[in-house]
Parts: sequence; structure tokens; C-alpha cells
Amino acid sequence: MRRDYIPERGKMETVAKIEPFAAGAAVDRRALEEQCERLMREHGPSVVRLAAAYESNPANRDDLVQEIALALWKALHQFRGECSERTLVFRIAQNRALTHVWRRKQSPGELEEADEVPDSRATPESQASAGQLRDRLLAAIRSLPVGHRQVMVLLLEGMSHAEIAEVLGITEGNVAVRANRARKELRNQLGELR
Amino acid sequence: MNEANELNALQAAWQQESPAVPPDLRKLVDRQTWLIRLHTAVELLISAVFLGGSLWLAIVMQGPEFVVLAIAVWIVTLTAMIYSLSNRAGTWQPAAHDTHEFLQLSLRRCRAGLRAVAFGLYLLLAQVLLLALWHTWYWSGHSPVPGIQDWLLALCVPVVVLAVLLVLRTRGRRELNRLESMERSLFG
Repeated sequence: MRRDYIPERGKMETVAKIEPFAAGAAVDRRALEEQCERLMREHGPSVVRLAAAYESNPANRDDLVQEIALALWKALHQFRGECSERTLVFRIAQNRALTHVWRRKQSPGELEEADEVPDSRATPESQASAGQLRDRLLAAIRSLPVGHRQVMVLLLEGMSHAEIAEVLGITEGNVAVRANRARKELRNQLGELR
Repeated sequence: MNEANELNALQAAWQQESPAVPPDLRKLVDRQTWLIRLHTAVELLISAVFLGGSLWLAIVMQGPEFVVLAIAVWIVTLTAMIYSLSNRAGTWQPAAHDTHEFLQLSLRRCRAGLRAVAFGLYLLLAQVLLLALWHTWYWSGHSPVPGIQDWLLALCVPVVVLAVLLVLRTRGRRELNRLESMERSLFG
């Protein structure tokens, strides 16, 4: 991971380790696929967790993950290193997830009920050891309005308010407001975490 | 539990699961590339059939009616192609925008799609009128004049195209409503 000084932020930050393709240059498809596969290896678990926040059906969730991977591959063609690779991956994942939400016949603010469809890949042991908190958390996240859900998922992935603002195109103040509301709603659903 | 600890506990629970992601990217990319090529090929083929067919008729039949028909077909087809290209302007930016920009781009794309459908409806009307005029002119000097069944059969094509355009318009409007509602919900 390379760290550079970002003048707009006035601090050192981790920046893209993707080698940007020069504008107009012929794109090496193999290099592109390798970069995309590396990104999916590194950020794949985060992408799957993000997809799970928007889709409870395992088959549809896998489709969404594939759509995200494809969108990432397409975006890499034109990526000029404008942001860090983590920001790039999360931007694309959030945008695809948003498309997924509006393509389903639901209004964006509508509360979404957690599906009862079991995940065939999860074994009984892993389900037991994963604990109930994660399942309850996932169900609670899915019930949040989309605007709050977007912020909460990125927060749970360990992103700072500044990074979330960069992914979503909103101000840090707006991120803070949404995060507070989302946490309040989660507290209401999950109770005090002890 | 204070807020920082609470967030740490939630993050730990959330990241507890680390699912593997092996999407068959190469296969997916190949399929997508193939679909894009197919789409382009079909568009080109349709244009070639209209432009080449009308030109071929004008050369082979050598009547003024067919020259007029060829000119009309070329004007309509080229107008459609130019409109299609100009209507897509500004909707081809990369997908790596932030959510706000992405939503704006999606709205632009959706509105461009609806404009294209509206243009398609006008174009269909113009084509039907032009062909009706041309047929009336042509069959006034030729015989035997086609029967009512032939006319009804010929009408099936624009009716099917009209139905497809209306379905596309309904879908496009529904999608636009959803996008606008999402934009209001997320960005006020």
C-alpha cells in the first residue's frame, strides 16, 4: 500500500495502488482482469457484506456481487487514480446496490423485511459460531432507509466520515447526521449493546 | 457502553463473517463483451438493410417512385442515427462516480431513454404516413392493387413496433419516478 500526501485533505493517506491507464492508450485486457481480480480478492468480503445489506436472497446477492465485479472491470478502463482503490470499490458497490434497490419494485425509504431464505453456504456450525448478534445486526441494517443504510454499512466497514463523504458525494456533516440517526434506529432495534 | 465502544462492537460483529468471493469474472466479461458486440452488430445490420435495400430497389427497379422511396428511407434512417448519437451525449461517463453524481447520471440516462422513445413514436408516425402516401402514389399507376388482407398484414409491423415503444415508455416512466423518488429521499 502506498501512502501519499493529499493536499485537499492536508494529510497523508493511502492512495490507489492501481496503475492508472493512460488516456487514449490501448488497454491491456489481461492486466485489467488481473487488477480487477486482485481488487475483488482484497475487497471481496466487504463487497459481499455490502450486497447482503441490500439483498437477503443468496442467489440475488450473488448476482449483485457479480454485477459489482463487472462494473468494477468496466470502471477500471477509465480509472485515472482520482481516488483510492478502496473508495473506487465502495463507490461502485454502493452505486450498483442502489441500482438494485430501484430496479426492485420498492420505494427507497420503504422498510424492507428480512427474508427468511436460508443461505445454503452457511453450515450449522458456522451459523452458531457467528453468533446471533451479526444476524440481528444484518436484519436491522436491512430495515434502515437506504440513505442511512449506505452510511452505516460504510461505517461498519471501518471507513471514516471523510471517506464516506467521498464515496457518497455528500458533506461530512451530512454523513454525521445520517450516522447518528442510523445508530439511533439500530439501538432501538437491537437494544443497548453490552 | 459509550459510542466508540458501541461502534467497535458493531464493527466486530459485522466483519465477523469474511465470505469468499470467486465470481467467474472472465466468463462474465466475455459474455458482456459479446452482448455489446451483438447489440452494435444488430443496429448496424438494421441500418444496412434499410439503406442498402432501398438503394438496391432504386437501382434495380429504375422508376422515379423507387428513387423517391430510397431518398425518404435514407432521410429517415440517417435522422434516426444522428438523433440516437446526439441523445446519448453526456451519458457515457465512467461508473466510478460518487453516489450523488451516479444518481444524476442515471436520471440523465433515463430521461434520454424516454426522449428516444418519444422520438421513436414520432418517427414511426412519419414512416407510416410516408409509406401510406408512397403506396397510394405507386398503386395508382400499377395493378393488381393489393387486397385489404395485404394492407392489414402490412399494418401489423407498425402496430407491433408501437406496442414495444409504449411498453418501453411505461417502463421508462416507472424507472424515472423511482429514481426521482430516490434522489429526493437521499439528497433532499
